[in-house]
Amino acid sequence: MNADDDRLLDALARGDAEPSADSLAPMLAAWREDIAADLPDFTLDAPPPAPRRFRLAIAAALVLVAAASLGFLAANASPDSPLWPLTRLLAPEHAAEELADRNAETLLEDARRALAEGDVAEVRRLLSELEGLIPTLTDEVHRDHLVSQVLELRGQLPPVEQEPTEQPELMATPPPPTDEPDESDPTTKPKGPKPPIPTPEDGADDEQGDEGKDPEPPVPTLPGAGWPGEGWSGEGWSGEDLPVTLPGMPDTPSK
Amino acid sequence: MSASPDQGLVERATRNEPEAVTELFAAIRPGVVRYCRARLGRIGGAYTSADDVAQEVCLAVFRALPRYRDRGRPFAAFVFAVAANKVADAQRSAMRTASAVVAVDDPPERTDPAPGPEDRALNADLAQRLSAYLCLLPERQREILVLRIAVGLSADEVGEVLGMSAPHVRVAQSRALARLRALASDSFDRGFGEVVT
Repeated sequence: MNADDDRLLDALARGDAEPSADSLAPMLAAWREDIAADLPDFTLDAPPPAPRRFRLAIAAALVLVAAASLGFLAANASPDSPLWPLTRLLAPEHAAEELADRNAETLLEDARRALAEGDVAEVRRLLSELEGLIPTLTDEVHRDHLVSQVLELRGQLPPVEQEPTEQPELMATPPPPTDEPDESDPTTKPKGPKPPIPTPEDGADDEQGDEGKDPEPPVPTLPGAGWPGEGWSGEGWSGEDLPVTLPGMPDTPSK
Repeated sequence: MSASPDQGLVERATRNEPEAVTELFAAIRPGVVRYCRARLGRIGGAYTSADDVAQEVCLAVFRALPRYRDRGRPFAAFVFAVAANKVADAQRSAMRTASAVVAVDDPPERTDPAPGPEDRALNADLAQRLSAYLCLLPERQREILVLRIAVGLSADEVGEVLGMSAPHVRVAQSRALARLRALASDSFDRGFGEVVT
């Protein structure tokens, strides 16, 4: 029995089941024939496909690696980089930080340039803007660097005088009152015709060139000296209090 | 015929010799296709799905080839282990989508005129019935018959693939055949005509 079955199965496997009394044989043969008919052609049969698939897989892997590295590089790119558009796409928060850093540097440079040109008001405006930006930066080192730069620049500004009565000495620094405005060093010179009026009521100190108003020359005490005193009342900067926070202001030099 | 390719060929193929790879796949492909068709049957009236799975099996075997090591078992054991897994995957996904429709009474049109239309219809019907009976067998018995008849492995080879002794395989295959005979005569008794039409 077992042996007969084994022979039957062997014959079926070869695809040539002999006629037999076994009622099951035709059915098994029909089944075998059915599943063996019309075998499909696989692409795998072709000799090259195998290696080609490998190459494809390797190519795909390389593309993935390249994309990943590109993504990594882009994530750390600066605005000058050709990858910058990718950075904005892939790492928007990094892009924003990078831009803020850039902005801060630009403001700092502008402030230096303005200082060199003697535009004190502009310097103050730029420094104020920069101070507002610093807290938003994420890079601590850069932040510290900027803070020190701001302090240094502010240190080079002429003090904004105020309260002549209280602290007359403060303003003295740069331009000796007697001098014509021009000779004093450029940075201290008031650019415009604005008068160096000492009047500001509150004791706001030098810092902060208030909104666009200029900082004037330190020489308030002597209005008559070089500038036309007319027309400027100094209202604009009355409210300043910032200076308090900034140490090392120049004011004292006169002393 | 043996569906188990010889070891020399397998070794050369694992060394990625192109001709050996080609030859190896030419040798195992028909058995893999028949195995998948036997296990999955016609889906939507055709073996297309089974053939797709067979191709996946061949690809999987091909991909695994570089890592294949001869551990004393025939290469066929490896191939049909892969095939069994792929078939199980296909069955699971078919169950999930429930989109697989077995059209028992819709045999595919064939263009070859060799057997007469009636013969082919009868053959197709017999094949479908046997396929249905196979599903009623215990899993191990069904696997043995598929490997023996559809793939064409010898009892010894089946034993190596399934990890059984050859005598054990022979006993099990006889039981399986006995069960099929009982099923067939049972339906015969109930009236072959009804079943056919």
